[in-house]
Amino acid sequence: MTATIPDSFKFPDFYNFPPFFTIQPVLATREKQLGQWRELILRYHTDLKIKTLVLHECPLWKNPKIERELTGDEIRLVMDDFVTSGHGEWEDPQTRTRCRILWRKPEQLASDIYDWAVSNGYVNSVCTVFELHSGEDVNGMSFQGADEELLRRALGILESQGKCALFRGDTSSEDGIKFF
Amino acid sequence: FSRPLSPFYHPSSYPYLRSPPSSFRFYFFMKWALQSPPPASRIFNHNIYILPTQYPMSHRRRGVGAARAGAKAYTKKAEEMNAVSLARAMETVEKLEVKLEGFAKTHKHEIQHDPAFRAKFLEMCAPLGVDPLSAEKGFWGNMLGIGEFYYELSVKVAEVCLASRSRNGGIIRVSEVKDILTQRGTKFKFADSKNKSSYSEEDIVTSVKKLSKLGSGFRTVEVGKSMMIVSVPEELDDDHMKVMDLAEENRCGAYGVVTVKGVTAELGWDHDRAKRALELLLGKGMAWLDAVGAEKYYWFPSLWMQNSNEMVSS
Repeated sequence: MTATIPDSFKFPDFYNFPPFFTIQPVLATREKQLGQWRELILRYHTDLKIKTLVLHECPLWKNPKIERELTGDEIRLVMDDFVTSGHGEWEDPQTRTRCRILWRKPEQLASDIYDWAVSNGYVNSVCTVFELHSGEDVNGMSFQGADEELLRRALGILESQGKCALFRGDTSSEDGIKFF
Repeated sequence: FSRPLSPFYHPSSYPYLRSPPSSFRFYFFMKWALQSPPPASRIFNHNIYILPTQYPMSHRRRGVGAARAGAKAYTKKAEEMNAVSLARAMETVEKLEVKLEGFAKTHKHEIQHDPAFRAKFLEMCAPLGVDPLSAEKGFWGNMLGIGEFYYELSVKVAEVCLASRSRNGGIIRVSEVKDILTQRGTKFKFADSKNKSSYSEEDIVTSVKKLSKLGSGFRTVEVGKSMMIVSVPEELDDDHMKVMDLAEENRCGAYGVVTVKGVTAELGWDHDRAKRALELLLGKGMAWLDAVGAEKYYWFPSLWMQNSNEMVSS
């Protein structure tokens, strides 16, 4: 069952351009096109806060208005490119039917978190993981409402960069982070 | 050693010592005076320009120089007349320039803010060789500053073209450039009191002409009824242009798209020629492929307009 696209989602211009649904033979053009697909998939899942893309349920591959759709092989190509670019991860690398969408790249989240910590004076003090995604201070930041899994990954990166240290808390949400 | 006198030096050939020459002689004198100097071999291998002092006394006032003085007198007169007409022409042009400067001063505001007025003004300047567009110091540069306006505009136009290159292969409609710039709310130093800058599609075309002088490959080209800007240096030959004309004129089933069949039908080419042209346009990134089942359609992003997307039946 393909999900229906809510009316609120605004499709980009190129979604109604028929060649968008044919993988271009000319490499330079193909690069541009795959970039457009990456952008579309990412924005769709981020705006609608969908965490996982299930290949055969995703409504993006077909545009009934212009009577065009991607073939199975073409969908694979697009998804492989998407995962290679670091915006998604296969939950089942063997069968490749479900893809976890990383709304933000962990590296980007990491630098965002650290910048926020520095500008809000959290250096050398502690805050919890809960505060990061649902605290009052994080209004408007890119990691607000982010998936915990994602946050952990970002924090892992910061740890390896030596910019923070993690402490175990009572619950996983209360794990403490100390920034340096 | 007595040097035999040649006709050039013989007193009889000089009218100066004679009584007023008869018309017969005068005629010969004119003929002789207007001819070019004789070949050197006829003058005893002497240099043609013999100094008068080398002559016997009686000939001192004359000599070869005098013979050619006649010829010189006529060329001199001709030069004088040319100089006079040139001076007159220059005077006229200067007067016109002064008038033009006065006009520009009076209508400075309109020129800076009204695209239609500006276009007419430039039309006036062109035949006089006045180029108010050159952004240099000097009367025009300082007074109007339009040179700077066009310079700014051409930079922004170039930006838009370069940014869209990966999508349309380096060819874009002038109207699309204008839309993008308007959407961006691009402002120039010539914003008027409401802080809005007005420029027309003609202004954009003029600024592209300035750009093309830099040898950057920017140029305008007409496709069907649309004016396009090409920002890649590659040549677009006649075949390509004809195919794009077809797409622009909506002659292959839908606007902005062509098929091999459509091209062969409308232009009378054979299958190979049509295919080659389309493949080339595809290779340049100016056309994108749309494969529906076994059918192949070639769309031009530079001509495609969101609203006029008609269904191409598969």
